[in-house]
Amino acid sequence: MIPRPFDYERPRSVEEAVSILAGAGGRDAKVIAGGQSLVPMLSLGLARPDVLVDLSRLELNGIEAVDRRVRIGATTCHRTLELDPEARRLLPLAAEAARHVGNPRVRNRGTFGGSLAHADPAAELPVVAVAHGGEVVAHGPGGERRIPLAEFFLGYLETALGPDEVLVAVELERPPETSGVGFHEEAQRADDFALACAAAVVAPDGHARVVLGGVGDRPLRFEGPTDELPAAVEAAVEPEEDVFVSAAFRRRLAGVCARRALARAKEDAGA
Amino acid sequence: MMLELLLNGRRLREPVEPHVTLLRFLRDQAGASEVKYGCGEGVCGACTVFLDAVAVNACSVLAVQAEGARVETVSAFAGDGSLHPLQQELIERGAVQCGFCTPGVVLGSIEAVRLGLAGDRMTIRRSLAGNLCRCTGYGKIVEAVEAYRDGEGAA
Ligand SMILES: Cc1cc2nc3c(=O)[nH]c(=O)nc-3n(C[C@H](O)[C@H](O)[C@H](O)COP(=O)(O)OP(=O)(O)OC[C@H]3O[C@@H](n4cnc5c(N)ncnc54)[C@H](O)[C@@H]3O)c2cc1C
Ligand code: FES
Ligand code: FES
Repeated sequence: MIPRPFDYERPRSVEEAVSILAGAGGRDAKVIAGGQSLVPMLSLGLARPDVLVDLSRLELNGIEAVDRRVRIGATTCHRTLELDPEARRLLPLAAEAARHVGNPRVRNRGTFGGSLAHADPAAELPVVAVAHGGEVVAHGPGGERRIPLAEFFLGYLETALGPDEVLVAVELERPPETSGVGFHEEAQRADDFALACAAAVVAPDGHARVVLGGVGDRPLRFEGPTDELPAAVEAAVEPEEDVFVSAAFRRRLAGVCARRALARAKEDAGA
Repeated sequence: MMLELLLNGRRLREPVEPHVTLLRFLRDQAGASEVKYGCGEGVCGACTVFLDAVAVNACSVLAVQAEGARVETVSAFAGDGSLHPLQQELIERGAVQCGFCTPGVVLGSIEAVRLGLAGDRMTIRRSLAGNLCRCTGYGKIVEAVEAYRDGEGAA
């Protein structure tokens, strides 16, 4: 299908992007980053914006360590997380998860900020972000605003970002050196969204955190002793049935993903 | 809007509407029918092109987003009457049947070999994710990519 016509703006600064979004009046203005969710949605008629604001010329990409955090620029692409040696060193959990996102061409163009702003409940990178914890850095008409990751995802394709805000970066907490991380996903094919996935962080004393994707309307976070978490996850999640799998099967997968991600994290902590 | 880009080394300057995808622009306005329209949703890889030397699905990029970019289709890799070594391997191994997926397979696999992501059969299969082929069953494509990697690709 051919998308419905819209206007297109290519601002040169974040301030300009925000002022276009804020000045749109009754018109539906939307940001476009990598376009890997948005362009297919335009073609399918699932998104019908009046104005698109392209972030590609804002140079918001890049990864840097800042104190105990890692700052990921909004337009850093999945492929950088997957392949760049420095990114892999700083964010091994994101590197492992990024490998599971779509296909190589989707990863070449899709962005970290776009993945978080899009907030697909089966997406991998929001799960990784919540497992790290930290803040989303957004710019709006009132300037910069910081949103804790624990409060960012509100539901299916819904976040705390306002319609006139641009996500400019995400600052992820780095787990302590002594802890380990692990990721596990179950999907129907290599390039599909997860049926269920889990990101885990385990401390040497056995205390763990595991975040589940694909089994609720947003990433779901659990904390407790490593050995008790998989059963707790399986008891707590309330996935819905869909055309692929039953609710009961998805609940089982949640437990399996949690167990395997935690096992990998435990191994990583010991290494 | 006026769109300027380099298509296979040729400078183009064409008016284009913002809602036109790069795929539609290349096929309908620039005559590059070697770029195939499969799914239109980023799933099949038939529309693969290089955008500033990075493989992308042209159906999932707006033409206006390619402003100032270097766009290469599979035609950039085959000369007049001569084929790219990977194309040659694909033909010799029977990895081309209807050929609809082939331009995407060629570009995707050239990138995979270039990035060192074709080390073994499993990684080749992974890098072929999103290049759907309805004819060959992939086995012969994987063999052709291996042969290309061991030949010219390694140089
Ligand atoms: C075939 C296929 C398979 C895929 N498989 C997976 C998968 O397995 N896992 C997965 O996680 N994803 C998958 N994706 C989606 C992909 O990861 C997208 O890249 C990602 O969801 C969105 O990033 P983007 O930069 O492309 O955003 P866009 O498509 O440009 O935008 C998506 C949404 O986010 C908003 N947005 C983007 N950036 C910002 C910003 N900086 N500030 C405010 N709002 C913003 C846009 O307005 C839009 O609503 C797949 C896509 C395709 C086509
Ligand atoms: S037509 Fe672009 S991926 Fe299928
Ligand atoms: S040869 Fe027909 S789709 Fe691949």
